[in-house]
Amino acid sequence: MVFESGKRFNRRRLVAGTALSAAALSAKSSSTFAAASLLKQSSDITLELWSGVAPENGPQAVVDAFREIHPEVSVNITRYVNDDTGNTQLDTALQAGQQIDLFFTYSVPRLGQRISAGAALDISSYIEGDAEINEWTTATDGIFTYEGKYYSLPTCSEPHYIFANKNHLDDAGITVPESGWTIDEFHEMSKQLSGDNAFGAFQPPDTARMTLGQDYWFKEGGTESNFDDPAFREWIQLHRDMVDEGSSFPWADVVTQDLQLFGQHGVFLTEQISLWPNASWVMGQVRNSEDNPRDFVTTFAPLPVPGGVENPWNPGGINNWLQVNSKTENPDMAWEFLRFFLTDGAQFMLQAGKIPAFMGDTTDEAILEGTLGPNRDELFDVDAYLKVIFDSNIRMATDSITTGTAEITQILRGLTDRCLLGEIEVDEWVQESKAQSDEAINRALA
Amino acid sequence: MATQETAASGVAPAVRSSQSAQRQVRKKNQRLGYLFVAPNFIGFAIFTLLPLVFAFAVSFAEWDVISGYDGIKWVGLKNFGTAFTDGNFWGSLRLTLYYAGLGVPLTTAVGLMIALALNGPIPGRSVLRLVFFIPFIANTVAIAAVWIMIYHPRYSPLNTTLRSLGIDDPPLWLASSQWAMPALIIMAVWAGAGYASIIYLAALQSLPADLYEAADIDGAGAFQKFRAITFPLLTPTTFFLLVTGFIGASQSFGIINLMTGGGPGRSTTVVSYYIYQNAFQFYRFGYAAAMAWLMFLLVLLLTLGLWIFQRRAVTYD
Repeated sequence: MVFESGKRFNRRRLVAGTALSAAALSAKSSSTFAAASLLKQSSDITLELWSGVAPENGPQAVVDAFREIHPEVSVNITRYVNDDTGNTQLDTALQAGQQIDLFFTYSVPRLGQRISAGAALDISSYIEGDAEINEWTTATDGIFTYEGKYYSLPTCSEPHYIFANKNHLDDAGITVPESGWTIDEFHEMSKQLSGDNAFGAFQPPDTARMTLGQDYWFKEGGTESNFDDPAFREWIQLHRDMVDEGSSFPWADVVTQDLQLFGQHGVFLTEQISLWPNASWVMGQVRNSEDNPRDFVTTFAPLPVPGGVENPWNPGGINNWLQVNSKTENPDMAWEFLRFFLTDGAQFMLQAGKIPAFMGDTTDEAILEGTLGPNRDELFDVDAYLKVIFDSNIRMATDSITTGTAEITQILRGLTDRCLLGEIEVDEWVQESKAQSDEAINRALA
Repeated sequence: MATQETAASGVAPAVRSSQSAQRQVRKKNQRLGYLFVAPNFIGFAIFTLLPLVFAFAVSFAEWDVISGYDGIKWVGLKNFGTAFTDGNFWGSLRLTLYYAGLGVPLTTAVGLMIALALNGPIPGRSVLRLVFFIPFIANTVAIAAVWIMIYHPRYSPLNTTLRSLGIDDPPLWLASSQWAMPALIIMAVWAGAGYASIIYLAALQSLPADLYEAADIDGAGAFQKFRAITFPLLTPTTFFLLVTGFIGASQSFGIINLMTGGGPGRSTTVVSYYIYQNAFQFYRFGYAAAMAWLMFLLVLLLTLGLWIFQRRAVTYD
């Protein structure tokens, strides 16, 4: 079965044409990466790539496949950890002029920072000169541009959905929810699935994002924060209620074990929770039954729809933005590699749970094999997975405003922790989120 | 006269040549000396001195690192002015004083108690010394992992014990704005007391025995001997531990980064963590450098204060 995406491209034809030889390239005379320049540059080029994903989890396989087409090009991968320290390491290396030809950026604020600092190459002309990529960028929502120009392309798509313990649902007589189920039903189901030291859900999905979409933290064009919007109050109130009544995972545990982002799989796979909103990037751990043995099948459900919202946004997005360093000495080959990573190389990133942003003719089978692994029928409800991954209703937004976002992230984290620990009430959360974020925005704009 | 002259003129060149030989040797030795200190000095210059000078310069600028040196925007004393009006900076200073002001004296006191206990002829003394010292040399990440388990609100042995003792609602420790800092202090005491005890043990063993003999003859009890002899004679050691402990605690970062990330809320955001946040999360390197220098000045002042205090309080024999 072939995935029916909105856009189908015959990647293989183009890759065959571009990649097999310089002679083949010369036929694409209209292309920006003209054969002559490529031929001139192609003698023993070494590209340096900085990636947040460890080489063995996919990037090295992409590089090896690229080398088959371009044996004259070596690509060295440097792994950086996608946290504050790792990102600063990358930024320092970029500004110190260390050879980095390509690098990954994993958040829109950092994307904005790096582009505005001049660290990324404007790749618009490469895109314009490449019919297939050009068509894809035009047809795809949410590709980040800066002052109307492209400085990066997203290599994977990470929609959010719910991982669910099928055995828990079966025991409670609950059928796997279908598209269109509501946040109230999610709340009720979480209560039903809760018991002694068992919690229905890890947390509710980000209903504010689902309601408001792009740049939901901001209003007035980014000069003011938006936390007084009722959608935020509804979200934090629901989460607080669920923590208080024990239908979501105790926030004291989350804070103590630092589970806000990483490590949640342990809670799900040890059956402490039944419903877990997350995205495919956690699949590496979820499918690893050797390190995480379990006696249940994981099924999947689409995110529940917040009340009164007809066409909700998915809180996930296109991500893993690949950028070319503005100081690269090999811009053409760096673009060539970026293009390969985006297209034919994307299949090698499936094992890291990275579903290609550029689907091309990636088959369902390849996605299932890559993300769910060889024991998929034993560990997963495969049909449910296909439904959530290929849900045609999914709308994902990419933010464009990045003013003070690093600081606002910290403000929200602190206040949300305190609210969910019962130290402050929802009213104070709303007031303080708004006031402190406004201050952060003003500081950033000053 | 002529003989003398001859003798003088004969001696003088010999002296001169021996002096110049000495000078040459001295020069050679100097060169050798410089060569010996060079590796250390070059390391110090590159990794300490230059960053210090650079941080000082950057404290007068706005800089986000990624924009490169071209992106440095000189703003004069603005960063220092911002620090004085930044409530979060003052809040983090208070938390640093709380952490160091309570943690360091406690660590020193517990270290002293352990040292006094281990100074006597008790069985397994050397093994116990090692046991108490292990936390000091253990890896911070491992320590953090163990203590996160100890402080787990639901499953920890600590809270299970407290519940079995009748405390129905034990602290949430790291998940409580009130208890997170005490939790970190308890851990710091545990990690640092072994070191303090080793230093105290060394000091205890060098105390003059004749004073104790005289006290015994006068019929002094154990507590009296401690109060009148041991404690006063240990004051230089206590002073050393307090000063170095305070400087160390005011720079505490690793364990806070690993265990609380400055939270919940801002309850454990000490100055060093706030500096880190501003530099590495908010990319305000200039402001972070300014706060680092302010912190340095404050620690210097406090150390000077302790130094002046020790002139009166510390007994050197």
